[in-house]
Amino acid sequence: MTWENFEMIRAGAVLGAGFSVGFAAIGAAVGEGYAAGKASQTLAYRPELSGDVLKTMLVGQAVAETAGIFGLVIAMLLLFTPNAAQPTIAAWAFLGAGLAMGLSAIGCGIGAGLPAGSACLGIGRQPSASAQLTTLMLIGAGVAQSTAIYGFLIALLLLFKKLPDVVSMPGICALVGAGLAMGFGAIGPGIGEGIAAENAVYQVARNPENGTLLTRTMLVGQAVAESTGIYSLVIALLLILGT
Amino acid sequence: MEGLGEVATWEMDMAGWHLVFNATTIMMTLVIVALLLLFGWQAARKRAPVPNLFQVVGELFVVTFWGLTRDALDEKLAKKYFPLICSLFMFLVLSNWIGIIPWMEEPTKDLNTTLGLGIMGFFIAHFCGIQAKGLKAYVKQYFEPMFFMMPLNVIGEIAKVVSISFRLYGNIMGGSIIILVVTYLVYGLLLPPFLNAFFGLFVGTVQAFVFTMLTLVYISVQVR
Amino acid sequence: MDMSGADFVRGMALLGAGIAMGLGAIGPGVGEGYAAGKACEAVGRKPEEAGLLTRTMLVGQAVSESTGIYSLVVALLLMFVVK
Repeated sequence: MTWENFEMIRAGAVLGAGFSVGFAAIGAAVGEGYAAGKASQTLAYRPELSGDVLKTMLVGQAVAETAGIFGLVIAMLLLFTPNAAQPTIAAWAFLGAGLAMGLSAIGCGIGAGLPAGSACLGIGRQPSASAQLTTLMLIGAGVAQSTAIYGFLIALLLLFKKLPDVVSMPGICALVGAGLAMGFGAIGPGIGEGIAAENAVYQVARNPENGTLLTRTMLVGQAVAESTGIYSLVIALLLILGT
Repeated sequence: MEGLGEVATWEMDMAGWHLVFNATTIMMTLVIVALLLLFGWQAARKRAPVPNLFQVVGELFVVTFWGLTRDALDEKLAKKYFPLICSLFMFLVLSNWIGIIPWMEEPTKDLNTTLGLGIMGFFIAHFCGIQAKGLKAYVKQYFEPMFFMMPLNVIGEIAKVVSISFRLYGNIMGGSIIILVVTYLVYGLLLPPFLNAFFGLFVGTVQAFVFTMLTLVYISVQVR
Repeated sequence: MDMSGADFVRGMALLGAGIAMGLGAIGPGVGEGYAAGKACEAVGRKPEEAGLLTRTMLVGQAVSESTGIYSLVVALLLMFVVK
C-alpha cells in the first residue's frame, strides 16, 4: 500500500476536522442544555417572566455556542486549506489542530452554560436586577471562553505555520503533542471558570448591591483558575515553535 | 508570522560566562520606569486641595492599595510593605498596557521579568516570616503536620514562585501572539482593536491585580 | 521515513510532555474554579469579610494548583532534558 503525499495530508486534515467539530459539539450542547433546563425550572414558578428569562437564556446559549462555532470554523479550514504543495508532516499538524480546537471547546462550552443557567434562576428570584445579571453573566462566560480562544490560536498556528520538509518522529510527536496539551489543558479551566461565574451570578441575584465586590472576587478567582490553561498554552507554543 | 518566537538579543562574554540579554525587554522596562517616575513627579508636585489629573490617579492607586494592604497585614507591617505593593501594581499594569501602543512591547511578555518579580516576592515573604516568627518556628512549620511532609512543603513553596510568574507571562505572551496571528490572517481588518482591548486592557489589568494580590497574600501567610 | 531509536525516544518524550501538561491541567482547573465559586458564594453571604475570603481563596487555589505545577515541571523536563 503506497500513499501519495497529498492523500496523506488530506487524510490528516479530514480526521482533524472530524475531531474538531465532534468534540466541540459535546461541550456546547451540554452547556446550552443546562441553560435551557434552568430556564424551564425558573418559568415553572414564575411564568410571567418568560420574556426576560428567554432573552437571557438565548444570549447565554449564544456565548456557549461560540466554542462550537470555533470548532466548526477550524473544521472548515481543515477541509479547504490543504494543498499538494505542503510537506507530508502537515498531515500531523492538521490532526493536532483538530485535537487542540475540539478538546479545548468541551470545557468552555460547559463553562459558559453554567452562568447562563444561574442567570435564568437569578432573574426568577430578582427580576429587577435582570440587566445587571445579564452583564455579569456575559463577563463571566466571556472569561470562561478564553481557554477556547487559546485552543483556537494553537489550531491556527498549526494550520498556517511553515513546516519543515523532513518527516521525523520528534517533529510529528511535537505537533500532535501540542494539540493534545492545549486541548486537554483547556477542559478543566473552562469548567472551573464557569463554576466561579455561576456562583457569582447567583449571589448577585440574591443581593444586587454586592455586584462590584462579587465581580472583583469572581475575576480574581477566574484568573487564578485559568493558570493551568496558560501553562498548557506555554507548553504547546514551545512544542510548536521549538521544532 | 515566520519571525514568531524570535527575540532581539545582546550577547557578550564576561569573566568566562556567555551572557545573553533580551534587548527589547531591557529597553521597555527602562521606558516604563521612566514613565512611572514622570507620573510620580507630576502627581506629587503640587499636593493641591483641588488635585490635577495625575494627583487624582495617584490618590486612587494609593487609597485602593492602602485598604487592601491594611486588610491583609497589621498596621505596622502594612506601612512597611505598602509602597512595594502599590508600586508593583503600577509597574505591572503599565507594562501590560503598553503593548497596545504600536512599536511598543510588554516587558512582562518575557519570562525573565515575571520570574524576577516572583523570586523577589518569594524572598520578601520568607524574610518577613523569619522576622515575625523567629527562625525556629519558621523552620518548624515545614515539618507540619508530619516530619516526612518536609519535601512536599518545600516543593509547594517553590511551586508558588513558578505559578505566579508563569501565569502572568503566559497570559501576556499568549495575548500578544493571538493578536499577531489574527492580524496576519485578517490583514489587520476590524478584529485586532477588540482583541487589543480585551487582552491588553482587560486581561492586563486583571493579571496585574492578581499578581499583586498573590504577592501580598504570600507575605501575609508567612507572617501569621 | 527512517527512524533511529534516539529519534523514537525524543518523539515519545515530546508527545509525553504534551499529554502530561494537557491531562494535568484538568484537575486544578476544575478545583480552583470550585474554590472561586464557593468564595463568591461566601462573599455574597458576608460581604464585610470579603478581604479575608479572597485571601483564603487565593491560598487554597495556590495549594490545589501545585499538581498543575508538577505537570508543568515534568513537561519542561521531558522537553529539554530528555535527549
